[in-house]
Amino acid sequence: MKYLNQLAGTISTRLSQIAQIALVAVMLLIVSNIILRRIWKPIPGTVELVEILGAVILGTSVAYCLYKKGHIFVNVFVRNLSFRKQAAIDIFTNVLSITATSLLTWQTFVYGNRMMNRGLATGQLEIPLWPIIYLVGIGFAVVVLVLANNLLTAYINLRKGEEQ
Amino acid sequence: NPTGDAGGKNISLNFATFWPSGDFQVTEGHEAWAAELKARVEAETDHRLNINFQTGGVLLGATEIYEGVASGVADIGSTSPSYTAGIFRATTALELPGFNNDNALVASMTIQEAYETIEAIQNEYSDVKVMHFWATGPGDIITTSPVTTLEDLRGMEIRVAGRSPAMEALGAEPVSLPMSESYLSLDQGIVRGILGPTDILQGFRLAEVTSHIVKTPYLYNITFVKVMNLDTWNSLPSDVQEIFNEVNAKYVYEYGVLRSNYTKQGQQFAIEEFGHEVITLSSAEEARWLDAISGVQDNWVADMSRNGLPAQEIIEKVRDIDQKQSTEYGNYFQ
Amino acid sequence: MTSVAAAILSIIVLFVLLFLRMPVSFIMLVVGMGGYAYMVSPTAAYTMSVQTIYNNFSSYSLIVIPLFVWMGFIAYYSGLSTKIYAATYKIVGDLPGGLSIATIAACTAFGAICGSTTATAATMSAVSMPEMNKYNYKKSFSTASIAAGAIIGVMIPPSVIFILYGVSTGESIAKLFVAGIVPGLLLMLLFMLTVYIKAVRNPEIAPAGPKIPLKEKFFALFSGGMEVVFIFIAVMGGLFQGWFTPTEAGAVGAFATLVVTVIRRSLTWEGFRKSLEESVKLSAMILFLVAAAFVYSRFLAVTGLPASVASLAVEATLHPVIILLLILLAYFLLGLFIDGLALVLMTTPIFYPIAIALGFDPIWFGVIVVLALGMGVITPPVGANVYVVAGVAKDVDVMEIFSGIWPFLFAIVVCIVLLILFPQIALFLPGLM
Ligand code: NA
Ligand code: NA
Repeated sequence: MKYLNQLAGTISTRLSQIAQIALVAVMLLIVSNIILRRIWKPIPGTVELVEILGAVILGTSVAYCLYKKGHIFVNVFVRNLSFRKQAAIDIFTNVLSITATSLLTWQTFVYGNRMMNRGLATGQLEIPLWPIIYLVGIGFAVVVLVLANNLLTAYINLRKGEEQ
Repeated sequence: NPTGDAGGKNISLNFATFWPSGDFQVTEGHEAWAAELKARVEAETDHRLNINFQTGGVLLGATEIYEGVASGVADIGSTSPSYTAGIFRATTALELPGFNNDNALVASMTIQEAYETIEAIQNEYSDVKVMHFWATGPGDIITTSPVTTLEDLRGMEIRVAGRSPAMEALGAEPVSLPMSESYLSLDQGIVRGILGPTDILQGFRLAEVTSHIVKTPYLYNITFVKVMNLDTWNSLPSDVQEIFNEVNAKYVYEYGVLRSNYTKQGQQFAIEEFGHEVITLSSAEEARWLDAISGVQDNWVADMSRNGLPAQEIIEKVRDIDQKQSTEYGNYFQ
Repeated sequence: MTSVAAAILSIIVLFVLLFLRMPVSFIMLVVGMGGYAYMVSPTAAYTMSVQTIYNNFSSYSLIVIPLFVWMGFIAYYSGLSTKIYAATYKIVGDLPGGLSIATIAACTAFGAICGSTTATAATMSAVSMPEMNKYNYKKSFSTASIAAGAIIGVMIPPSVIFILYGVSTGESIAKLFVAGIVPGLLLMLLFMLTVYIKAVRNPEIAPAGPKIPLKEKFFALFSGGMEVVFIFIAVMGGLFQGWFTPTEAGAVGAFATLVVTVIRRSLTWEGFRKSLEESVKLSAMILFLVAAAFVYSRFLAVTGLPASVASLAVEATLHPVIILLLILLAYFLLGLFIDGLALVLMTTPIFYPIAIALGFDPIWFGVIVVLALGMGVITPPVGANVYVVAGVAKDVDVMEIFSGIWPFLFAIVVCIVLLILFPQIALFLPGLM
């Protein structure tokens, strides 16, 4: 239990550092492009690079956001229920989320594979897009890991039946 | 599968497109095609056909349509092969600069015949049922200041989609931007022109933010394709399939005429409503432009050959077809 | 089950899961993907979901959200927002609800530049929520005023939603831009009035500060405002000079704020790292929500529900103003579940011809539509702005914010009624063109 929580925390945090670097990069890229096109000429493929960096930023930070309980939910109804009922509800909703996200992860890799075989690339710089799609897939795999950790927590809460 | 209920008598199909519902491609193109299919299916078979349009990218965005139709998100879709770069390499032969490309009808008939006769192009659409191809009118350089010589164009930021070897060869500064960013970028002067057919002057309201049209038909056009999901196609009764085949064949021509008319109308709109000036290059100047872009097709052949395509063969066939269709329909809209 | 029945069932499931404290984004993913699998096929549902999410994540125009969010967190972690609000408090703090009134003005100016209601909501709440807490503003009140204030900016040019309306109807985009300005400012004033009235009636939700002499107020304006003035000039000036587009303004804003705070030595390395950490977290929340809402709205599109609701409003043969009100009601209802931009694309083709046939001015109708869409982003269950504000102000429940929204919804309705009674509010400026 502790081990899974640690694993989910470490991996999602590390992954989100990629997002942080990409966020700095996208700012520098756009600002450089604005300056360079005034004094010299625009950076070729800026739009495509921004799109790629956008996918990197978001693909690698959804899991971290989940780990930090950053996704919005409505608590007013559940928080007044008994601890055991709350845990049962959390188990149910986590199973739903895990099912959908696992399918999404698997299918993101399937899509990445298909795009690798077909050669999908950016229009100007001809950068292959499958590695980016794979990275988003990895991001979702870590989301599943964090969800699994939440599910386990809820299960243990249900068994214990009270807050420690 | 959304197709069919009541023993397959009622056929209901979803049609996804990125064009907004008010665009002529939908109102006078897709809807006319659907109406003709519907009427014929009703009159000639014991089936009923219903086509639901999902316009404006609401169901599938421009870059999602091909994959979406292939996997059944929608039954039918219309898109441009160039929206997903790298996937339809052989098809890009049709979008190279240096052909006659007199009008949208020539371009439409050319791409359709190229598809029907060139195996490398057919292979790129093997996971769908192709309804038919068509193409835009020839691209002009639409600018915010007059351009009469190569020197005027040099270093000018021109909005393009993806790579534009033609604009590079001419010494302009191609800037790849989404169409949604074009209006503001032109308005603010971040780009000083756009390469495209003149129907966008009205359709995307770009006449509001530009002033000159430089006629350069040999530079550019974009091809479009209408595709159907394979399972959907196979589930259609053979008499309905036959009607689809006949109507599709007819609409290559119809869409070509439609887009040609709107290319003219868009230019007329810009002249009348916003006082646009149309610039026709002198023949000596035009020769310089053609000379500047003369290497682009060869570079494409070298590039694509490295990717294992019979590129030389493709380009020669396309040149022949362009010549033939140009002779047939080149003066059609004079 | 008919497809409209499937759509209605999905809405019920959506609400049930919402009450079971499942994260909103996951709810919409589950319901949208599951619904699509039921309506069409699992394979189609997978491809639709994967492509929708990937394309939203890699959308060029949505990059403004992480960038402006970062700008907000740099301002917060450098103490810049504390300075701004201390100065603002001196200037308008003695007015009931003064800080919220100032925040609405700031939301308007910021939203006018960045053009995204969600980015405005995120940045403004990062900057102002902690500060308003310090001055004992009640959270359900301050959060609601930010969520609402963030929608004003789309009325003021440049505005993506007007470009979309112009392209899908063929109306002049330049005229639409100009037409939005006065109604946008009117909405701002109505929101300020709303705040003022609420604060006068319940002084404890936005306590007025001590009276401060005019001289001191004048001094505060200079001491607190210089950095902000510089950042504002950099962004606004560059935008109007045509140096960059609104999409690029996010990068300029973050960069300018970073430069100012580093030069003033107010941003520590630790603060810088924290700002990045919080920014990617909040951006992931917002954009995963946006993407999942898109998945859900694509399911709704394929059920044909939006078209059915729209035609219900249209088929009733009634007085033009009644039909207009029905159209607005349809926008409001659909706006509960569908994102604003998608809604323009779905409904304009149905409503625009009707509006023209009824003799309404098409430019005026565009302004009305954008106002009606504004209601959508602040109403449950799909109310992006409210979720964004809740994501920043962590200890406030979403439902508390929604409960604070009603007066602002009422203000929007008043604005619409005024536009119906006096169309010149929107049409006077374009008439001069
Ligand atoms: Na704006
Ligand atoms: Na809503």
